[in-house]
Amino acid sequence: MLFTITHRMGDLLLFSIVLGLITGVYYAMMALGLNLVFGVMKIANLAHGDFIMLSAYTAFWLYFFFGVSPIFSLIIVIPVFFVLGIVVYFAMIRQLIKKEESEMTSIVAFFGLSILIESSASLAFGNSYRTLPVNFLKFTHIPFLGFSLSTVILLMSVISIIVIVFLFYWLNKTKYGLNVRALMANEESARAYGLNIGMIYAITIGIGIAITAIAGVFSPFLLGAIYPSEGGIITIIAFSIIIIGALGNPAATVIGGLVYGLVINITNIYAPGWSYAVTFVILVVIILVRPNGLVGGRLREI
Amino acid sequence: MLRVEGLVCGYGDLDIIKGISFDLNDNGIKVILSLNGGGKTTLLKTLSGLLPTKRGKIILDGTDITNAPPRVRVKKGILFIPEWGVFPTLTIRENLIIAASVGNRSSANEALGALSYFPELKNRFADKAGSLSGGQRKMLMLAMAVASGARTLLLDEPSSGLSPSYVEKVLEAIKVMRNENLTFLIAEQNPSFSEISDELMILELGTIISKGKYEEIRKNDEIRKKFFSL
Repeated sequence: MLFTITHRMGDLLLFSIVLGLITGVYYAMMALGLNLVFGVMKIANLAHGDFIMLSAYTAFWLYFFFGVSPIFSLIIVIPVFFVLGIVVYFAMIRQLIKKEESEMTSIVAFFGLSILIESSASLAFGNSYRTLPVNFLKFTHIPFLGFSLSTVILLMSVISIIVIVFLFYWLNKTKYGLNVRALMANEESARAYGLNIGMIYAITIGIGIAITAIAGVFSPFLLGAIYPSEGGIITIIAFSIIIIGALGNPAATVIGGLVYGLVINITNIYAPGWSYAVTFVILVVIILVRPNGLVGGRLREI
Repeated sequence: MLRVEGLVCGYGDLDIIKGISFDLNDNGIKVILSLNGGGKTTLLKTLSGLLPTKRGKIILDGTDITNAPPRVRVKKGILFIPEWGVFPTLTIRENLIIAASVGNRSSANEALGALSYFPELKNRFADKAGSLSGGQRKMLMLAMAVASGARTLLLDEPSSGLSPSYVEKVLEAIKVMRNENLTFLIAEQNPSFSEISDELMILELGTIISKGKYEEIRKNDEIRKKFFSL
């Protein structure tokens, strides 16, 4: 009997680790846009979670009114949020980065944007909790290690991996990505060499918000119901992930996401209800011991 | 030829450069000798378009570029090379490709050709620029300038942080590059750069207090004590 319980606990731990890694890549993708924008522009987008909320609502309404499956809603969500990112650049960021202390003013400005988006969503959509059905896939669960694994979570993981690979291919193998990395490495030289800084900023935030929106479409399956004020906690989670990895380093976000996924899933077994608390204790320890994150010392490097 | 007429520039309400004029002739080396705080970096940044001109004119080959953005000036062949102007997290090859792309010479082989001037970097093109020593970074900066195809190079303190032996290497490299029809405006506080100049300007508190041949200027006791005793 004791052996059976021990064996079962072992399987449960293994299952949680696997689930932690599977969900970890999603968490990485969820925070990737935030860290990309921070790395390139040194802008702390406090409205990050609100873009996730908006994207989740977009997927919800597309399903509600037109029966569009979340997977197909990406065809609409990605270009719309890419353009939205570019609009945010021209409407806000272009003015912000010209100012002295742009990092501090951007925090205040994006905090304001966050409140604006949240209030507008509340007025437009109401405060009811919404969600998306998981049965848009043929099989909703598959057995794994004697437990049940959600196929939607698996799909999210696969999409997250595709998005992460795409982003790093773009950054490392394209001319535009090279320009982005040059700007991250030495802004003054990038300007001196005549790189089109405004265009790089606009495209980067467009891609950052588009990636965030992909995470938003699938957020109801992992982060919980859709409601107008959900953005705040999501922004905090995303900041935790990028600080655990390394601020301004998109590659480190993957490490941060995996660590976050593991911590959340393992604490769910041994200390259910304490997941967030344990995560933030780990965050504080990392800030105290390795202020530059786990990949520390390579700030703004890819 | 680059002509500067009555240039005034600075930060906010503060004027750092207070109305200076000079000509930079093609294939020449003009050295601006100045102590810290003299305004040499501000001057070069303004010539490159990184800082706005408050008053005066900047004319390149007869075209007024006073209000042109840096991108346009680079395309016209005038390039500012900051004190530490490499991209440390990119490889040497990527640094050269970035430089080459601004001059429409985006072929990687063409960019790597710039390393022929700097043999010690030749076998390291896959290394990150941040792994290079200070002197090697300066070499890379010069190689990038060659790769860019720019004809007029504005060099900000190419000797800073270098050992005397590396300063010699940088001086040699500039002399070699000059033979490739390149024009140099070099802002320095290291007087050894004066020796390779065609014309020397002494910049103090935003004003040119003396200009002419190095040998002539050096005869002035006050200037010699203040600027040549490093």
